[in-house]
Amino acid sequence: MCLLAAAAGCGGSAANVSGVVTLDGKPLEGAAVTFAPQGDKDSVGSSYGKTDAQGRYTLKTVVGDKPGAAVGKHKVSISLTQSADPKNPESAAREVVPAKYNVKTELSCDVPSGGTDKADFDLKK
Amino acid sequence: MTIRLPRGRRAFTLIELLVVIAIIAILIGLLLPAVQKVREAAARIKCVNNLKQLGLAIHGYHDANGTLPHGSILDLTQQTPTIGQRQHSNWAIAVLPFVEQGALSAKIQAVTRNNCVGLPPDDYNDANASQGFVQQYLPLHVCPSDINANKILEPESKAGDDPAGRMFMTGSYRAVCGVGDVTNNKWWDTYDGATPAGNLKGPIHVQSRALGLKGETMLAIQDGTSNTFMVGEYTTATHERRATFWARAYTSYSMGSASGQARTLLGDYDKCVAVGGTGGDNPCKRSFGSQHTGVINFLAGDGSTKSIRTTIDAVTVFPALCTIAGGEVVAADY
Repeated sequence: MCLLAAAAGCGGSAANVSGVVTLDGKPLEGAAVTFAPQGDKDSVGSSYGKTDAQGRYTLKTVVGDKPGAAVGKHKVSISLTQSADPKNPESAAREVVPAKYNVKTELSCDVPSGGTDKADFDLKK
Repeated sequence: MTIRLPRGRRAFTLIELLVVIAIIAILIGLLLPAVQKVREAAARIKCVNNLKQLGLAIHGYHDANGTLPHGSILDLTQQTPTIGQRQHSNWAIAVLPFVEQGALSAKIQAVTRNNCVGLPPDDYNDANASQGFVQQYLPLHVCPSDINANKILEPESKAGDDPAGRMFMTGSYRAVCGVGDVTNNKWWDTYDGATPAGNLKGPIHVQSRALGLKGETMLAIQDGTSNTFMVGEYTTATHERRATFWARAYTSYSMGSASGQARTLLGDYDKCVAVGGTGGDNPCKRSFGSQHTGVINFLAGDGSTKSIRTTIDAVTVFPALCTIAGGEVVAADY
């Protein structure tokens, strides 16, 4: 079954990934988690997830919304934006998570071919 | 129970009929996707051809003026322009004389000679243009796969002192203005107290004499013209008022940026916002994207066109292709 799925997914294989995001020990709710695969240009591309009240997220591919993320090395970015000034539509959305976890991310994750449900990230402000 | 038929005439049995119908169904099933693929391939070729025409026009503009066209021009009456201000002209209007639209260009000049002293002759005031040309249908700016093609809509946002309810013709192509500073909401399509860092600059960006922002030259494309995109496709499957508007100078409607985020290459504004990321919806407004299957077409600085995959490495590779002098090394097989 796994072989079939791998053969059918033209353009690299994907594995289910989930985990928990905490900021200073507390679950981070509503954060956008993005996994960007590194190196493999035939991969399924980036995957994303949103954390729930317990900080838990499950990844889906950005293109096509298929479950999981590409197998292999990823750059991970975690972002939580607060709504911008409603009076000015061009105003900036404020980022709650430090830049070292999103724009200048230091986070990475190696997704094993069997997937994982322990892709946890403990962020520090 | 058997039905007797007259001698010499033999009817088809039900099984035979069903077999024939099944064969026809299988054949249609095989052929129909092929026909659809050919239709899409034809649309893509037309779409790429438009990009090549725009490339010739931009090169023509460069030959005549010595620089690449402006993405848009900030209001010169303000010494310190800020975001939410009127922006004038744009690259698509600037290159009109080079796509055999000299008449339209002359009309724009005739009706919009206004208070903007010192602007190039192709100036037109985005805020002052109640004229019909912003609703002009130009086949050159229409990708056949674009579901928003040939719609006249009111763009979602406008300059603070712009009247409401102004309608524009959609388009399919945006100039590449650079890489955005998503954390601080700085972009090369407008000016909010500062532009992003110089190494994030793209080939066709906002200009302002007061700020010393000038047009780029081919020589300034130090990353190599074949490694730098000038124009790309953008359409959105949702939220059509965030589509591309070819004659719209204000911020992102005719210019796109790289944001280092895969969600900005979906061609789907609402999904981009739903996926989320640093900068909220601002990177989504400045996206590139198409309705082709799996690719987005771009025009490179040397006049060639490139199809990139929607699954391209949006964090490192795509931004590198949107800067003129970022100094990045880009593998040829992205």
